[in-house]
Amino acid sequence: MMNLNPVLTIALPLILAFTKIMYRRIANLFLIVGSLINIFVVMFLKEGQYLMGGYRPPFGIILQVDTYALYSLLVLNVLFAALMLLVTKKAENLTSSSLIALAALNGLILTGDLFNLFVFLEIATIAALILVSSIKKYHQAFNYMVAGAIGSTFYLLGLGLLYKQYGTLNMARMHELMAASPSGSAVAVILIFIGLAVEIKLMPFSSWAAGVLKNADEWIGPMIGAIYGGVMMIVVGRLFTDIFVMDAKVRLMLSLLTLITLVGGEAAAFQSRKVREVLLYSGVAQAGLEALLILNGYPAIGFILVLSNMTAKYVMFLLAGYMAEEAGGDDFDRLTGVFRSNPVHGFAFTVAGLSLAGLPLFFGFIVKLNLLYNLMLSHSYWLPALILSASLVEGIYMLRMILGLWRLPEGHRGGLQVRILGSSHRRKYAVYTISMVLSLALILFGLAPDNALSIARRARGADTDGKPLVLITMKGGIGQ
Amino acid sequence: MNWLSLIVSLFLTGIAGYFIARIKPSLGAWIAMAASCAALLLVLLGGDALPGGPAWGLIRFEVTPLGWFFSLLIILVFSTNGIGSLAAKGRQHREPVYTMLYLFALAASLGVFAAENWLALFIFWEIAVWSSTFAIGLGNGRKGSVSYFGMSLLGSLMMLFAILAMGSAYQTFQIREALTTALQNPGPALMVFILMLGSSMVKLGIMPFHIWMPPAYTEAPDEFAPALAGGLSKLGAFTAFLVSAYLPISGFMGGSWRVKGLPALSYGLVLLASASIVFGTLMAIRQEDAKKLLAYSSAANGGYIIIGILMGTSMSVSGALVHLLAHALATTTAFSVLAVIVRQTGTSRMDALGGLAHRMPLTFLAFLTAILSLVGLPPMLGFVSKWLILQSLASQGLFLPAAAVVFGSIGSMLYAFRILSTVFLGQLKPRHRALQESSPGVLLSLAILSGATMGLGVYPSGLIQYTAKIEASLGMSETVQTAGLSIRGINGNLNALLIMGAFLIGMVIAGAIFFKAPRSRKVDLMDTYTAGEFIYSPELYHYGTQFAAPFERIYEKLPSISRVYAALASLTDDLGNLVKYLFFSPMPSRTALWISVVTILLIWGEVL
Repeated sequence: MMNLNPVLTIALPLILAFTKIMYRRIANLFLIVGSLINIFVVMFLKEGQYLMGGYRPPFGIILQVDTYALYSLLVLNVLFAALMLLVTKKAENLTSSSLIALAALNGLILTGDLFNLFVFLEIATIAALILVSSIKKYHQAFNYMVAGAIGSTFYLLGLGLLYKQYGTLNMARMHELMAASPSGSAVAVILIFIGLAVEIKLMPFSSWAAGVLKNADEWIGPMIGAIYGGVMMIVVGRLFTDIFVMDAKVRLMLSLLTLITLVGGEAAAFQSRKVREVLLYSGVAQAGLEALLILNGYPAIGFILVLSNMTAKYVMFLLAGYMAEEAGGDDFDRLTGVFRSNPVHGFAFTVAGLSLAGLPLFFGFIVKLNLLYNLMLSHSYWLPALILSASLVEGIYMLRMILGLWRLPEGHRGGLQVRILGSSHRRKYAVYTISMVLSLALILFGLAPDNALSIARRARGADTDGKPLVLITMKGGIGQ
Repeated sequence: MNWLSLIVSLFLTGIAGYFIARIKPSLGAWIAMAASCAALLLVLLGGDALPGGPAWGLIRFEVTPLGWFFSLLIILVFSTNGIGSLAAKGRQHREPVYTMLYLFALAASLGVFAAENWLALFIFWEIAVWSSTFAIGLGNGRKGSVSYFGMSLLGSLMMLFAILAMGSAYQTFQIREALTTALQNPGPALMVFILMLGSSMVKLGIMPFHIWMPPAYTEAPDEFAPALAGGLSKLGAFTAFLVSAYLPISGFMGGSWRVKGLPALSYGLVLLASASIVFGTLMAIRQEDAKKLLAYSSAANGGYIIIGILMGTSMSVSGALVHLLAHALATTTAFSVLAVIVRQTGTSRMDALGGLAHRMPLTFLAFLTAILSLVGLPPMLGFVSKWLILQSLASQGLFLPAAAVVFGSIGSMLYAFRILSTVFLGQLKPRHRALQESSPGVLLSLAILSGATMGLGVYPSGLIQYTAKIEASLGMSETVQTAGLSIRGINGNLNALLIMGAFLIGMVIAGAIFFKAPRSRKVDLMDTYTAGEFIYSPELYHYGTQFAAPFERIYEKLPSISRVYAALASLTDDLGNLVKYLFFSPMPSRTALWISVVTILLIWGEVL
């Protein structure tokens, strides 16, 4: 069996990004081939630590491939490559920045060094900024830049404090030292959390997300709304589970922030009457929930929640972008009945939405079930009750939106005659395939979730904070 | 054949039906009908000894007498409705996806009734909810499907919470085991009971959870409303039976406060159900639309069922089961008839109809049996169930609920006969002269339903014996007794056949008078004169017009629960607006401000 070096997933896109400049005419090809090769590389990665430049840790930078990183990389690269297959004229100008974004996102997942992580964070943000400016909303892009800059400054500030205290930037070493003497590190951890909170869209730091995603097209929506958000959450999952040690007070304060995000995000989504707005605020709320789980010692559940939300949001943002483009806007009234003339898209969107709302038959349900069950096992009834109330609100706005998109508008007999992507055959079939494959995957994992659950357990350990992770699987019922 | 394969094949037929109906839309209705009739045959022939089939992970089935009874009920509703809607040419009904959703809802309900554990039950419950939500969404309105889904979701989340609370406290999800363990270690037992019963009440549309019923019943496709009202809303009763049988209130709140021999909680819930009866009746009287009227009457009838379940005596539980069946048969009939009427006239407003009995006498007869059963008059099944419930209320000396039941029965005469007379009796509107009798398919399904209503009403012993079997299987120490053709009551026996005989004698006398007496002359509706008031449209002649106007002022002052829900929704909206205003402004400076404020707060909190 081949054993490839994970640095390839970072280096390859980078090299392609710069060589592309010389071959402008086949830029598309670079993008597609580059991202497909990356999937190939990820499939042949072996778990382990990889030293860069031959320095032993904690002195050199290392890349760490564990189950967590491996499956995150897999999902990331598959979703990314799928997006690249939809490449359009507009994206041709963005080849380099897309490839750089891919390199940086891979790096964020892989790196075993906190400063290296900062570098990738910066690269990823800058690449995203260029991508975002393609929607021509410069004010929103500027907002994003300011927020991103503040975020990375906070991260750097926190990191500086930690370095001063512990004298290392290596993640594993940092964890050892912090576990030995955690006192005095709280301020730094808070600063780092705030820095990352900007990226994972926690309230009140996420105003940029509203500006960007409200106007996102079929390219930016999945990229920023699903892929970026997901990867940043995976980074948070890494840092706040494996590395930083928090005392109960800090954990409580940060959890409060995530709870506010959950409630506020759902309320804002409930109030919205535009498809992309609903998606973006529900994404904010979901981010709150994911971060809540990660902070409170349920990283395995948090992990599958991130992956399942990422997939569902990806499909929905993709289709929402196309719908908005074809119909010239995305308010519910304008789009009433759009799925009547596009049933395949409608099916994919519906499946993703139902999964996101946590209804059975879909993956989202299994995740929600396990999430609530584990919370209840630790004899907490208030948190599950709050989460269930939030999902009541979520279910209502999600179904209201989906039903509206299916409903025949008054007077129209055949539904809204907007053909999503009637023009280009290649794009049309690419969107069909991608959205169908991903939504069928959500059904498949909903029916047979056991593998996904056991991967999550393997990735994030069976035992955190003394709370055993008990999974309810389809095959065997409750199991340790 | 086993239960698993029955359900799986229904699901697969649903998917296949979708694709076939896409090619040839008219086949969709046939597939839905054929599949549900085949299921009916199978469940009837297999009886409650039908094996559950191999376990497929969590999805395990076990057919119990209670589950079989419910399954038979829902398949009967779905298959007769399937036969009845064959000839329907409605737009919604012709949607290919309708066939799929219809069969999904049926298959999922069968899954609920035979589930071995709570998780499987919940999974099928939710599938039934979302498939029926989309089926309602195929109809005309906006509000119905969303409020149905919202309330159903509230109910299912309550149930999920209870299931997980049991699972985490007792390490089991097995239905009976979890509940009986809860009885022995009553930690979260009270919470579990309240939540489970709450979710049942949502489904049954008991006050204050009834608000989904009127919009959902009116806006659902005409062909789906019978299945929804007669079949799917009965899902709630199933879990209520399970919970109150295995986790009776007296078990975990035994010694503490009792009212009239019942634990205070039971009594309170019985009062709530009684309030639902009174309220549903009052609201039904007021309606102008036949479907809305039936929706409120369903809210009232759910009250009888819950009272029967909560009382927990052998008679009351039997009464609840029989009432469930009676109400299912009657509402399915009524909504099927309304579907025919709406298809032909385009309206279900009572004042726009009238005199239809002249045009569709057979349909009228079927509707008459349904209404008689709904009111609870012999010789219909509805009489038997109300008799049983009243008997057990009376024997316990529960005056208030008994008063509510009597009030509901008398009130139901007001509204049920009103719908009968405004729609079918009186004079035919000129524009309805061309109406035709229902199609043979509809008549067949109506014949089956009314036949069952009347047949079981005259000869209930077989049914009662089966409810006794259900009671025994639920572990009740006493079961309801039959003696020959009559049911044993507390202060006398019920011999329905005897009553039928008396009824027949009355009919013969009335018939003799009718045929002997001189006939009245038929006058056209508009062929009349008016005194003082100019009546220019047939509607104004109709006594159903503004029928409840004198009551309206009284009603206005009644507190409205739907206002509470509306207030909650607008509160959420306001919160969303506030969040957007505060945290999602397009000004980067505001973001920066928030970051600083939160940072300061967090660090301050840490340093303190």
